[in-house]
Amino acid sequence: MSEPLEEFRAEVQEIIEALSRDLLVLDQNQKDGVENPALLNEIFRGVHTLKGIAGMFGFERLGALAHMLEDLLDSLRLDRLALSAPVLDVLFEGVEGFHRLSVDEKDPTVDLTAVTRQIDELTKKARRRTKKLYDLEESVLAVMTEYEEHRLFANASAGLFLYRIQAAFDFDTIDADLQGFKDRAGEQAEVITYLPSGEGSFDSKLELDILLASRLTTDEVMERFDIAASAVTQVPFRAEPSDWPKPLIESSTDLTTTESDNLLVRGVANSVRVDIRKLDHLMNVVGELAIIRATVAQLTEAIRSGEGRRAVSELQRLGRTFERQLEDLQTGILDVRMVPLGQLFDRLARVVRQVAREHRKEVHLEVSGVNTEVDKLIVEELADPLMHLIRNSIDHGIETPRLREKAGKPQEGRLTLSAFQKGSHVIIELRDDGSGLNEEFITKRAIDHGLLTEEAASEMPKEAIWNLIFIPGFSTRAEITDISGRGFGMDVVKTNISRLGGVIELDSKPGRGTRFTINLPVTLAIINALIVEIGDSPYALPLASVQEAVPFDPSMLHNIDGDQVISLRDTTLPVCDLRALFSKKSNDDNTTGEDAAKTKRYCVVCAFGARRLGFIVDAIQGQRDIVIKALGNTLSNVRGFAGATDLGQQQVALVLDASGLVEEMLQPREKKGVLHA
Amino acid sequence: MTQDPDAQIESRSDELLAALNGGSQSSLFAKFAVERVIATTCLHFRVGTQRYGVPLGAVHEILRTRPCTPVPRSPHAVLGVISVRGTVTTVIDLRRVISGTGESEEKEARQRILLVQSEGEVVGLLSSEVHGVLRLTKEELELEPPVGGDVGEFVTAIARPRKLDDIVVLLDPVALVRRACG
Repeated sequence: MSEPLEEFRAEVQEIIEALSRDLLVLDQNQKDGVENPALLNEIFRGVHTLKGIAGMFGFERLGALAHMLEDLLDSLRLDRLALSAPVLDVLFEGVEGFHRLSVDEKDPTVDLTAVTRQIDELTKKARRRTKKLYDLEESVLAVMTEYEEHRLFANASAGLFLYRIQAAFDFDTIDADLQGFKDRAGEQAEVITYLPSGEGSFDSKLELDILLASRLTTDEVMERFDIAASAVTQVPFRAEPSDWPKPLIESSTDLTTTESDNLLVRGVANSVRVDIRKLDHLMNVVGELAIIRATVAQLTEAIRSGEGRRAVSELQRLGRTFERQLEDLQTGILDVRMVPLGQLFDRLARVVRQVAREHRKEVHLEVSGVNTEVDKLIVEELADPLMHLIRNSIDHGIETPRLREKAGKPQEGRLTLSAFQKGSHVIIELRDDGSGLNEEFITKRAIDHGLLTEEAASEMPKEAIWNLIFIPGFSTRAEITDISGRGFGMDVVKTNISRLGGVIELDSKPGRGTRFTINLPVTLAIINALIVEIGDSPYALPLASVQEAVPFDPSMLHNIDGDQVISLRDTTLPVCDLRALFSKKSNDDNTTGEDAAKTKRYCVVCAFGARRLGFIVDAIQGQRDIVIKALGNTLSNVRGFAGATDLGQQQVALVLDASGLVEEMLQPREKKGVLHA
Repeated sequence: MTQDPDAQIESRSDELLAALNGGSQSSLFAKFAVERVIATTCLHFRVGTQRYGVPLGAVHEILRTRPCTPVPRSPHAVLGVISVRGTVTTVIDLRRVISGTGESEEKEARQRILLVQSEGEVVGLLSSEVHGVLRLTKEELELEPPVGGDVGEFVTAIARPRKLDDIVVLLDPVALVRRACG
């Protein structure tokens, strides 16, 4: 993609995010019955900017949509149209349109006719207001901007007095003086406008008529602005403000909004916006490295000319500096990749609003930890799983307002999305105060689907039962609802998260709600890993999941019903011999590695949440920081590896996908075969 | 001046070469000649005892062999992965894809890995030996070769270069990689 286009997308994305955020606040304000002219202005400006840049990059449909929304917002801003839920729907729909069009301007699935029609209707209904409310001369009214007029109206409605103040200002200092005037007005008064007065101006002075709306009396105004009585006149009201018709309340609801299924929550831009200070720091480090490079050249020269001994100690010192700078560079670059989770949370807030409306449920989303930073890559990959979890919580978790009232809960359901950092991991929690999971229903369904036997079910601990919902093909609703229940299930959520090296756990209390906890590494780029040997090859095992490593002896093995386990400090630990697993080539004959019975092998214990498994490896080389590189698409079907890493000297080690392997090994055997049928 | 075009091309082969290699000396004449006579330019290599060619434009780079990390559970044709300046690259052993090429003495020193573009990814193809660039005229090509089966999926033509007393099998690297890893 070309650079300017990418930049455009990044900017559009940023504006859209800000718009979504502001609209959600506006939505809340509207529900609470609070007016917020400053926020409306902010939104108006955002859409206006969008219109401008869309035009520059030839995004015609996007520009046209922005233009229409701008008109609508203008009507709102000028109070010609009242803010109502349907108007907000149109605004949200418009933002969704921006998002999709910024991905593909020619996307034929983006149908704007409904939203266009709605905007048209709303704009038409917007009233042109009569101008006179204070008794002002036509000549003054004629030169006022629409916005100034609106403020005049608003102040009149609020019953404020309007004063006309005559003041003379020096040409040289007029800007500063006017600002000083406004500052003095502060919150007690609002400067509506200022016009050159008919009196003309003397020499270097300009006479202005200032229109000021305030609750203050004439005397108070004189005192506050330190002006003579002759300069202040109160403009009388022309009619009682209550006589003025109120703006229309819009009530039609025939807008077909985008289904929540089709909402776009992934980011559009691949770029990361970077704080210039971070880059400055990197630049400094690179400068230091260049100096080191020059010193190396000098030392090489010194060695050549026989000053070897001095050079060696110098080299040692240089090596240490180099190491330090390199480390700095590494952390600096990682830092640049980090983005706050708030961006994603804002996008998800839109999903919450939409899904709640579709289900006629009242949901309040509470968000915390928006500044928690995570690698950009992880943020993007998290979008879909989180969106699905939110849908599930609203669809299956939170009850309808009626049911909630019966259960003695507030009608409005609460969804809490929070994030915080814990060491090198980020914890994301999604909690609802809905009905919780139904234990009996889940076990019954699992048995019906042949995923579980009745005996096994009876002795299953609660946590294990909850985890059944992550099994492919499991869906807890008898009839598939339009939103949550289609192929894409909780199993996909789990797979997506484990692909990021994360773990998802859930906890539920009947009648109290459900909590999903996602535990993710902060970054995928550089991780601490244990280098182990299997066969003759080195493999890297991410250290985050490793609990311990113990010497392993084949005599420790027990075979329970086809599963290999060992006893470790009085607990039974399932194990997996990686050499045996890996020597089974998919196409080759089964040439097992039994022959090379190495004397000393190790069992590396990995844990993911409550699940533990021991990997039996041939040797342990030690730990080191590695940079994980993705395997190419050609190997995308190969399971068990999260990527590969360059160990230097042309040696590449595969990185074990520990959570994937644990998952694979601990799959209940009952369901094997059933799932793929 | 009525000279045989082929002879003309022969006499100005240096210029032609430069044109083919995208050098700055390309002239109208060279372009004309290329379009008229040269049907394809390919990299010419050997796997086992058989000669093969892939379009020159598809080849990014030719590497000496290096230790390759095997990937357990991967398709049979995959030799493993190597790191090419920081990018993990899959290497396919051509001998395992092209069956029936016959065994020959493999000198490891002559083996080369061809890096080719395949559907958004660069993939390495291990060959026994690389011979060089081969320009083929239309007359030298048999475009619809009678090969069927698995191999037929990725064989695009059979070439009989006048200079060689052998045939060269032209391959479509994208289809070959798909076949080997699919």
